[in-house]
Amino acid sequence: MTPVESDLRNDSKIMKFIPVAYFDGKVSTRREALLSFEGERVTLLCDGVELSYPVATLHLSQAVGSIRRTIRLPDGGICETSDQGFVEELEQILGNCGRASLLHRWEKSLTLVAAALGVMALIVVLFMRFGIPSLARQAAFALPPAVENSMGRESLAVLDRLFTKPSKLAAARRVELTALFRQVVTASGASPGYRLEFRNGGAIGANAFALPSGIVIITDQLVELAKNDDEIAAILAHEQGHVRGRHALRHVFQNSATGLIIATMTGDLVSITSLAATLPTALVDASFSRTFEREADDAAISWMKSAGVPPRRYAEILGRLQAQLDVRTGDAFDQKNPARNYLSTHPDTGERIRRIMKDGPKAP
Amino acid sequence: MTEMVSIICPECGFRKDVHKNMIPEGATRVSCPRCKQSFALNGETPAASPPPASGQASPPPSPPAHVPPVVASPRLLTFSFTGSARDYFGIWIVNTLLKLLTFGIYSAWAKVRKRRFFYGSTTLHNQPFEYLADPLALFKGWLIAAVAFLLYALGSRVSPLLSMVVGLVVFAGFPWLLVRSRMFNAANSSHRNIRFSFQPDYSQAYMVYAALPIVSMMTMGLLTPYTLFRQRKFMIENSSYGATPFVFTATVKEFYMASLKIVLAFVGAMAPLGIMFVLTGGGMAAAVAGSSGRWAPKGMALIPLFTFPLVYFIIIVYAQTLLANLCWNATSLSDNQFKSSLRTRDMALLFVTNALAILFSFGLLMPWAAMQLTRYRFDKLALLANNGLDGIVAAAGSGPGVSATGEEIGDVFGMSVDISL
Repeated sequence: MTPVESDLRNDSKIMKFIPVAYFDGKVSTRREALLSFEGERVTLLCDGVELSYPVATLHLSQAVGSIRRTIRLPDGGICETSDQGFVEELEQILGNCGRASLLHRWEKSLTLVAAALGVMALIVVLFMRFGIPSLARQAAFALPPAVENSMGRESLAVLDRLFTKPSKLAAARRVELTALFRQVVTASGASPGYRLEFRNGGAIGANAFALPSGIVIITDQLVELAKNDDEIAAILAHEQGHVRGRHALRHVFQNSATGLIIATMTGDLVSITSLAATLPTALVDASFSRTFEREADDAAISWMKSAGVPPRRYAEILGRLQAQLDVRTGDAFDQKNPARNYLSTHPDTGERIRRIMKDGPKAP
Repeated sequence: MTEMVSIICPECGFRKDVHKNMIPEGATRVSCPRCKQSFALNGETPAASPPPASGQASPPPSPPAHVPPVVASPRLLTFSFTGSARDYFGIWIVNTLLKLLTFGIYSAWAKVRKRRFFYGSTTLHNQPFEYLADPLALFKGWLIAAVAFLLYALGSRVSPLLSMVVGLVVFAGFPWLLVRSRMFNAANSSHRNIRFSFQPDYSQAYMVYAALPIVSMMTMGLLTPYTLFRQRKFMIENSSYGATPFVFTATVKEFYMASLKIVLAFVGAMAPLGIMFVLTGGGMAAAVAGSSGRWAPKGMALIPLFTFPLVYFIIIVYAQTLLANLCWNATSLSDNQFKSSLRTRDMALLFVTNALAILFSFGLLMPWAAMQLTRYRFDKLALLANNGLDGIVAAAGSGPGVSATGEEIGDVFGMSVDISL
């Protein structure tokens, strides 16, 4: 006696029929059918024909979101039903979707999703705070010298094209300052490859930069702003600190890495919309620079200690630079605007000056 | 009991009494459980040629394919997208977290889950699509891609040559990757339990995705519309649903006309802005100098400055929308014509609101934005059916026989192999 016959004969034993849509996998036609299960077997009734399968051979598609689930028959046909109760019953009988249904419950539960979000935020913050800087540091120090040299050359060329003009400083003064720079560099025990460049700052005014491959630039305006050579030496020591820490390179790496990670994590949308998600980079970026400025300040302070220059000199020129900046941007009330302060690439100068002066008295 | 119906097999005489309710409405044929012969219901004479009997319990006989419909009035079958942002948010967060915790290993499973959700939430004529890829197949592809990527990334430390060779191979393999990825995804997509497929034609792929773009570059973009035309034609005409291929009826002329429209719109929008910029340029310089005594008020100069990017953005959206509509409206499947009616205005507005939402939610509204965009795209898509979707036969030997290497290499190297219309 075949199962088909037994099902037909024992009509009364069949508990219920679930209406399903049946697709046989050979033709796209949708057909209405009835599905029933009794004991170990499932019976499909379609177009007056019955097909019977062992329950264990059925496969229920994973639950994802609220999509309709399909029951896959061993011969490749599928059944769809809107009867949620039946699907759950079948899931219990099959009991083979443990991991998948766990995922589904996780995705559906508001608290579990919130917990996942919290963990994710924590990982991202920790990674951006510690992971990226350390990776950028490794990358910056592992960079082949040839690449670093060409990067330094390139950035100097860009700077010259966009902002700076040739220096108008007297040749004798340049020789003097170069000697001072040498003195600072050798006192700090840095490699001898560093070089000092003079430029007319133009619109960027009194300023100094440290570029990759040991190029330090000082503008004519800064030289004029300084009351004595100790002040200039302090600034040079600060820039030398940037060079030694390879801050320019690390800055570039950190920025691109953070941007890259945010873009990958949120980059599901292929459009300008994912660009909007990279804004937080700017916020993070500011605090990165803060760390670098501190490191460079430390380098300046340690040089001043060794050379016997009072830290007051450094604090004075920083204060003068800040005053000049305030006048130029008309942002005298800068302190009252914390957002503007946080977004500025240079950390709060007042805070830096306080820090320098605090370190000062401890100097031998 | 009058509710019972007797069915007698005309071949072997097997008789069965069946409850009337158990026979679905519209059932016309039945096969005998004893001799497996198929015959017409209601005691009518059996069909002249019964289908060949298969050995085991055969599925119910399939209705004959391509029956010309009696009434040939076309019906509009609609697409719709029913995915909710709430559901997708959960999937997205869990996927992202697990990817982070497993250093990307989970990405194959994450991709399958995401696609299952998107496909399952997309319906045509109330019938959802299905994504059937096995995450393990994707994972194998991911492993190969990851090894290639590591060779590429770390190769420069060992020798720059290695890195260069890997990079060159991946670059040169782009059309191949594209075809493999398309094959994998098509073979794992189904609707009404019929899989899609993509016919690999590598020489054609190299022609339209490598040779033509290079030639197009050399002609200062004059051949770009033609290249685009060939690429879309290649993608669509090599795709099929079951054994029925898609047909692409757009002409080169239509692509050139569309390109002309885009160029004209660009010039038309930019010219007045440019003139305004020149006229107010002097005013701006004066404003900076502090003497705003000119006829142009200070703010005027800023208008072109801010509108340039906006206009540029709108033109890009316009171009995308125009091409998407053009391609969909020229695509048909077994006399069923796709209809796409996307509007530039709606798309631009959607992009802007999505960008703002993502920006102000620190990316948390990403799932919502994705749902908005997908829903709109499918709301504006329909199928004008002359034949309907019934009776499309599965391709012989269709199944997931393609490895996912192409799909994953493209993904890991950040190439967009997932070209959709």
